[in-house]
Amino acid sequence: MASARKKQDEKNLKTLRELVSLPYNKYCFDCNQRGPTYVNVTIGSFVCTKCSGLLRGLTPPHRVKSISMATFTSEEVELVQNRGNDYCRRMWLGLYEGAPLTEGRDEQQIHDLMVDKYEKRRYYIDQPVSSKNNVGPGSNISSSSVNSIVNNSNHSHNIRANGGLTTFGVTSSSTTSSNSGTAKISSAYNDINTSSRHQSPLRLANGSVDSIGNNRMKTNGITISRPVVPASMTHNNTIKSADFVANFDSADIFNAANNNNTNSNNNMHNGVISNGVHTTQHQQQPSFANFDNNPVFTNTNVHNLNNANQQKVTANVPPAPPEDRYAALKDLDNALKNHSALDWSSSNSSLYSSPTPASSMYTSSSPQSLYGSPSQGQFISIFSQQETGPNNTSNPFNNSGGQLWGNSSTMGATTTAGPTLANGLTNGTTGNPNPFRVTALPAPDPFKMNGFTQSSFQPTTFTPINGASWTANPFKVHVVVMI
Amino acid sequence: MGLNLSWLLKRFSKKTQIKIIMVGLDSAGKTTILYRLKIGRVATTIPTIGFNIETLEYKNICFVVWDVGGQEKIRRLWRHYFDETKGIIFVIDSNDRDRIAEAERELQNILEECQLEKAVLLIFANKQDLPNAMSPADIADELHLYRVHNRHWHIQPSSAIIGSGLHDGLNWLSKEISK
Repeated sequence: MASARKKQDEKNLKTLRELVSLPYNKYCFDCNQRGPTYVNVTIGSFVCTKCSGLLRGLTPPHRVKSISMATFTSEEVELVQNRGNDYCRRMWLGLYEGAPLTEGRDEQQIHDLMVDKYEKRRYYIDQPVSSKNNVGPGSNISSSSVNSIVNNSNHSHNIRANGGLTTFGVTSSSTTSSNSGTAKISSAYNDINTSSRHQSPLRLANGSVDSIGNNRMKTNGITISRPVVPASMTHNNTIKSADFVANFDSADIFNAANNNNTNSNNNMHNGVISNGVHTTQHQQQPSFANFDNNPVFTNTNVHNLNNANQQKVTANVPPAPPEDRYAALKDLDNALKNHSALDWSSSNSSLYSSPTPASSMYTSSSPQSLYGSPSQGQFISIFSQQETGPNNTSNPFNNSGGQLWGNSSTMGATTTAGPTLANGLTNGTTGNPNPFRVTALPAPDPFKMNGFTQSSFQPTTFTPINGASWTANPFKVHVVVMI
Repeated sequence: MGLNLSWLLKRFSKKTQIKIIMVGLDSAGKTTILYRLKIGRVATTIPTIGFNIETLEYKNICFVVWDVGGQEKIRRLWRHYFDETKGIIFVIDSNDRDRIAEAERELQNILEECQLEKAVLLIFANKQDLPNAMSPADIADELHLYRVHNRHWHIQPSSAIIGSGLHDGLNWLSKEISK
């Protein structure tokens, strides 16, 4: 169990590392500094350490997580995967026309921009849908839980939420007249994805739960090649979309034509209906004719769910005037052209293969591993990463390591009798393992108390204490910079 | 000179130095509290990696407060700061209902440490300025504080941004420790 979680964590970490190395994620979303080390899991962007600090102070605060010092749930990883800086830019800076973000901005400016951006939402665009088709960051679209985190538009997210089940996505996007319905559907889909419960899709059926459930079973058991729509289901039309052109009815019609060749994969038939929208996948969800032939109905659980959903939707759709049939399909085909290839590209695996994500948040790992090489290496790498920045004021650890003592002698003056006294104190006091002593004399005695290696205390950070008493402190360096 | 120094030392030694460790989940406001107490104003902080340490004079006590980073993977480092600790300040983000259970777990973990057996426990129910903040009573409930019988504890509503409650907390701490 623990190892499974660890594996999942590693997988997530790997995904994040890959994501952060993508070109549009290589710079902090809020200040454009190169090399973000934190993830803003509230909106799904990559940010630098400094901005992560600022984001925590917004109202409502954003939640930030360090890539290397936190574990991520699968939902969070998926969110970041689907968002990323490029998407966030279109969403949160959609209306922004000011000067382009450059690294040289001071902290106050960055903070002000954040307030405008997130608290006042001045540049916010609710649905950056138009750009979704050429989504850069969405190249890995596989999310099932975007909806639950940021609930923007059912329409756009349903397509994503369904992951590989493009057919379903189409359905929901074409039934935008009933938004609540689609929302339910997608949330239930989340259930399916996370727990693979067979029951969950049944919940969506609007008033026809039992009959649908039963039918699903029958259908699967017989391995019939198209969803049987029993009479009972047609009585259960609960969605009031009378003006909605019934796509699935048309599917039925084709099915009727196809009844002869059960268990056949009549691709020619599909081709006619789907107007050449064929995706390369053998399941060919987008074309409705595939209801007949789709091998989906014959095997795995996942597919059963799919099947069930299709049936439900079928049940909810009233009979349509036949003359509208093709017009509807045309619309759907267009929608599919936009989305299907994208959705199918990478979604299947992550959608159904991810283990339950709920528990991965809290790792209760053994304390020894902390001192083992991996995590130590991790720290070192963090520090070295941060040290590389030329004007990096944001590394508290190095600063505190090198200059803590400087701090305490200057600052300590306020609390004790004077600098000399403070020095006396350091050298003289016993009791707690004195941090001052070590830091006062940066050379021989590394910090034994903390778990970090000596390398993180290298005196390179020993910058002169230039009079101002704060500067010695890592934190205060920061303070001076900004106040 | 030597005389002078010894006099200074002597005078200093009158002030007891008390080591306090301040822990809590990330983004709870530990560093903000520390610097609010130290310099009296709100400073912009970044997530702490490692620790910050400050001495705080309160009445006749000199608190040496260690503020240790609270991010998930570095929480395991906390216990290395526990030595000689007389008091624990555990900071809670009162607004973060989702992670109160996580905070509870971390608190239980450190309360089990034998190095902290005699340490008193002060809990700052921080961020009380936010509209949706949990009440201290609720937090005490969530943290199962009422089950803690073997040590003195106190939960103190606070807001590091406004500056309220912090000195009350220190006041309790100094009283408890000088007992």
